Amino acid sequence: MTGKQLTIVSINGPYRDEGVFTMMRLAHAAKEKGITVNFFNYMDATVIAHRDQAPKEFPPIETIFGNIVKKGLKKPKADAIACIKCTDARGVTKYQTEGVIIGGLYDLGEWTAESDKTILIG
Amino acid sequence: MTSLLLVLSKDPYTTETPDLVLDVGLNAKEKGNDVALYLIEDGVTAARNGEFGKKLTSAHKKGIKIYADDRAVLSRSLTGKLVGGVEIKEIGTLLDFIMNNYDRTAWF
Repeated sequence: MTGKQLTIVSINGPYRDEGVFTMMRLAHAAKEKGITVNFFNYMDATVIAHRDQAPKEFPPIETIFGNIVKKGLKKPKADAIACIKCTDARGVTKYQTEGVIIGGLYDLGEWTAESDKTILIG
Repeated sequence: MTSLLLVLSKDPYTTETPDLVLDVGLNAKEKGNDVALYLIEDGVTAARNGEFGKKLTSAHKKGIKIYADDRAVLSRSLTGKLVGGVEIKEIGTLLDFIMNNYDRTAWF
């Protein structure tokens, strides 16, 4: 356990490019290294945790993301916040997968202050 | 002096982002900073033998370290087809760079 903390801010939605899968790979590596991960899903990235996605040709990203967040209940943990203005705008506030909390930019400010590093994947 | 990690995920054929990233890196290097470029996703295509590959070779000679994500290279069948000086790394190394080795990370 390193006790370190990483906040990952994501702004792009799923299936457009590999960005979300890169985020998942980083999160898996972080958990292996004992690093706590905070996901802040912002703008189109709030669709990542939208329930009941059923893509025909890609892995369902909500399931992959949700599994990481749920497994993160054990240490090293992974927490996820979706920006409320972004989820409201996209109509996905009530349909976030289990473990995702609806929050705002003040939460991101706190995470940024708490974290050893914050990166934005976009 | 600081250390700067530039992560490039875009290819050099559809946007000007890779040129911008390279300009940022070269400028930071000229000012005495430690600079590394990590190619990921479509960004690995920037290191193919070609016009942009030559720019990367030139940047490497000026002291910019260049890395490429193993899975991105493999999935695009680019193994053995990248310009010299590019080191293949796995995602855990990128995480180590972000958390421990570089002061600042900028993701493009």
